[in-house]
Amino acid sequence: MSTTPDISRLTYADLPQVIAIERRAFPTPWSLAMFVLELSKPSGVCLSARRDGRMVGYVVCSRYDTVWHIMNVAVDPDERRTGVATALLDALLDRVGDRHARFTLEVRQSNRAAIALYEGFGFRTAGLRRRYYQDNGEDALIMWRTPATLNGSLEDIPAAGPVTPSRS
Amino acid sequence: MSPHRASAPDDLARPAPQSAGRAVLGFDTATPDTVVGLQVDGAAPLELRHAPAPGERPGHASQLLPLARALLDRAGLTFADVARIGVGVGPGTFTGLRIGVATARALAQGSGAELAAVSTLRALAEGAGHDGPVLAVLDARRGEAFAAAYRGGEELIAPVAVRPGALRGLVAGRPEPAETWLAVGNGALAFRDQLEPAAVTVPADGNPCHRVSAVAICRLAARGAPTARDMLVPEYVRLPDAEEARRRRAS
Repeated sequence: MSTTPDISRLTYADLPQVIAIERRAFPTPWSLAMFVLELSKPSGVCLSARRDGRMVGYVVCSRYDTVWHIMNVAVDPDERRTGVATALLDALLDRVGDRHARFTLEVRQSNRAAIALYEGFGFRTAGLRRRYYQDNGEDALIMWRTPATLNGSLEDIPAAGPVTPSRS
Repeated sequence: MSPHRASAPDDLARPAPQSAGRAVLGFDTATPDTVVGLQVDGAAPLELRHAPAPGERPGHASQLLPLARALLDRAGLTFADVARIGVGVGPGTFTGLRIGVATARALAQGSGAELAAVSTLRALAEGAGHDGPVLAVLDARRGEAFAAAYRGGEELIAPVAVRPGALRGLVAGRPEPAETWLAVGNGALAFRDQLEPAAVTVPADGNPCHRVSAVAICRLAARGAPTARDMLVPEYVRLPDAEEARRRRAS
């Protein structure tokens, strides 16, 4: 059984370790400049997870208008399935703190483990971005966690897919 | 500000009319997306978007009015309650701009709402929420980009149509250091390889700041002076293909 990782705010000093994980975790990794940009935003919540002082994962979340966009969730490939992402998301929801907050994210349709994790946190699929990922043309699921999804509906999702003209 | 209206589920079940608030409807059809926003005083802004898949045709004509109606329904309002309509007037796709402008004019004629023209590039920059200079870039097709630059509300570079290779020159010609610049928009993504070597930051592909925000359109529309109905016209920045061909023949 792995220990729960320590969560703290991500700082510029963490970025070399972030980049090291990013490059191992994703086929199309973010650049250093992209992380610097997100960290520089006052409206964001960026967190790191550590075990024995070593970074094992991070989350980058930014607020645009009234919606929180979870833009990057990464776990060191050697530390997967050990509760790192769960600890990061727990801490993120806690720090945002607003029970009316609306969160959204995009996830690869094939990433069953991630989708199950997000569903466990009350995220629900509310749309699809076709051929979203440039490396393999995979579709992205658009997931939301809102007061409505926590009550089992998609009522308050700002963009629950296209409106079909016949419905109007 | 807490986003009560948009998020409280019991509130949504039976939306109360918001006669007290001043409603601004905003939309943009300058990019392949059709995006509609609604801002009512004292409530969280709402936005609905139709984004075609790569290769799929834009849904401007079929999506714009249904999205606007769906948004008003959610707020318990009708078109008659809208005080002002903000419309992104480009630059962007010619067909999209004509649909957006014609729809805005027609709605205003029907309901008496004020109109406000909003530059799509300014809305893109506004939505980025960046303190430093922002280069808003749209893919203009035919190997060109539409670009303009803003910092806060100030216009640093007026909208232009340029070759992608000239984008870095726009930034280099300004006194602000390149490292402080942020480039956003589908053109920033398409021409990332031109911008990043010049030290301009381009956020990750999935970042929402690359999409025109209708909430930003609403905000800018609410702030500025209204536009007379006959004065509401697309900002093409360059001539439509057909017009260019006609002028070439004429000259």
